[in-house]
Amino acid sequence: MRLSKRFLEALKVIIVAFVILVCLFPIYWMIVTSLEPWEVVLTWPPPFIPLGFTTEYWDMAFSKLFLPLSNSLIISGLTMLISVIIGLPSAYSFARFKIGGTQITFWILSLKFLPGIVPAVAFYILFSSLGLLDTQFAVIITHLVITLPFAIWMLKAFIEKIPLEIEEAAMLDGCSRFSVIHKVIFPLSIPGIVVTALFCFLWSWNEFMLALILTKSKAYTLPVMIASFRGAGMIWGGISASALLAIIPALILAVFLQKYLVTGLTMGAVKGG
Amino acid sequence: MKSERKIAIILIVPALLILISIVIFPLLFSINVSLRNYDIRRPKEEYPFVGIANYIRAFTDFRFYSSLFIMAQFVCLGITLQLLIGLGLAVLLSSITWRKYVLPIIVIPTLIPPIVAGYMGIIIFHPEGPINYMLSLLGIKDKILWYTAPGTALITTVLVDTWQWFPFITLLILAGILGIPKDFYDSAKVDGATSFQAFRYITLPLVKSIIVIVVLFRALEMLRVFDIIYIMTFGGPGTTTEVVNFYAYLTGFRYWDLGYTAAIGWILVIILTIGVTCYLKITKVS
Repeated sequence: MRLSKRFLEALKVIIVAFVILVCLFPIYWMIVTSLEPWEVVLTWPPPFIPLGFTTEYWDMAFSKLFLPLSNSLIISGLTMLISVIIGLPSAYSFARFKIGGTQITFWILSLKFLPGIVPAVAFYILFSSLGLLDTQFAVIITHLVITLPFAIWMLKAFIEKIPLEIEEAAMLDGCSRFSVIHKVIFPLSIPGIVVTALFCFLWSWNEFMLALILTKSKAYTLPVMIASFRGAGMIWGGISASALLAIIPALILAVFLQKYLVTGLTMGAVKGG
Repeated sequence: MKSERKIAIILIVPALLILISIVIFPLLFSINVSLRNYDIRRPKEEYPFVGIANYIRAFTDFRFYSSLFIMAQFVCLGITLQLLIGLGLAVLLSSITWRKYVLPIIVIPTLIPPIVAGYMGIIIFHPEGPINYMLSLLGIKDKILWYTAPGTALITTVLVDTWQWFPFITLLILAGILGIPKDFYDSAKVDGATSFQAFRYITLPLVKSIIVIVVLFRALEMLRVFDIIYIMTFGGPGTTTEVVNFYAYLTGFRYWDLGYTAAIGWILVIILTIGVTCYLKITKVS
């Protein structure tokens, strides 16, 4: 009995170790690919530790990265800011006044599942007739279609958790509705605001299809740049180095957002533990 | 009380105005586009109104049917794999105490850009890559052309999607399992239940509603799969991995028939709406 229990524990450790290996190996493989000289890539057997070492591809990636990296940072940053700033007041209104009832809030939720190709067609035509194709503005607007509803829904869930009594007490002390929002709700919902903002940032950072359709040579983002390498003559080291830079926000968020991942990934549809 | 209502409306106006201008207006506009012969290469005035011709064309377009069928395969295969792995791993993780050190690592795939996941798929499943090498150590010497052979291309993209999204399902089901009071298991143990019986009669029924929601979330995302297909196979070889969303992209932004793209997009929306409604009716979760 004792032995079989030990065995079971060991089995669990082995399975979990295997899962971790599966999750991390592709990232490790990209690191190896980005550091290998050209002759070694795609040799058989594939080298599991780099045979030879070069920073050529990192230099190459960095020399080409400035434009897409700054585009990605500006687009994701502004999408994040606008979503939270515009989303917060309406989230408060939905949470506290139940304005519009459940109908309108569910309509907002359903927007997250709108196939992007439908608005993409409309935006492509509109922006091309306005001469706004291939601008950061165009990408930000289309990203807001997804992140603004998401931000409203997330912030609403966070505000609903703030006890109503705190607000009532503040109002009894003579605070107006606006100073309640400013002095009570805002400070208390800062953790929720930060979490929502980071998810908006990550969504915009990772988004590919809309950025692909709406940009060409000036406003393209990091994922568009990575995808543009596809096809014959792929420079593996260069793509690997760029791709490794593109996953940095994800790595940071994996650690810091651990507690909020369940809420963030389902917008509160499943209660997190 | 009346001023309260005024405040409520004032607070909501900025977001509502923006949503109307960036969501409602483009959606109405795309309906308009879907009813026209909107070939963008023509001069501006020549987008004739053609009624529902684009929709009728979709229903006689073999390539469109094929893309629907491929999408259905992609979703069914992916959901099955991800749910099995996710459920198994969630049960396993719920029984170990050191899971808080494991979770930050296993959620990484879910958070990275899908385009990068697809690129990882390319180098990992490359004919000369590590997967084929490990298989050769196990005795499979033939190099499998994972994403360039018609027979295996779709399943390879499903595997990459599964790699990226099994942590999502694991995490959500784990949250559900951890929410079950421990007393339930204790009293089951007193009654002499085996751990399998405990799983079958306590865990499974109590996380059922979470599974229903998780499957819905994943299915809705997978129906729109694009990034992985774009970078790994570009719909090929032939049209073996050409899912609806990708076909819609091709018709609009490679063949420049935006009217037809809009029509396909709206058909997809209708399919999604009907699917979700039926799904929620069958599973009786609101």
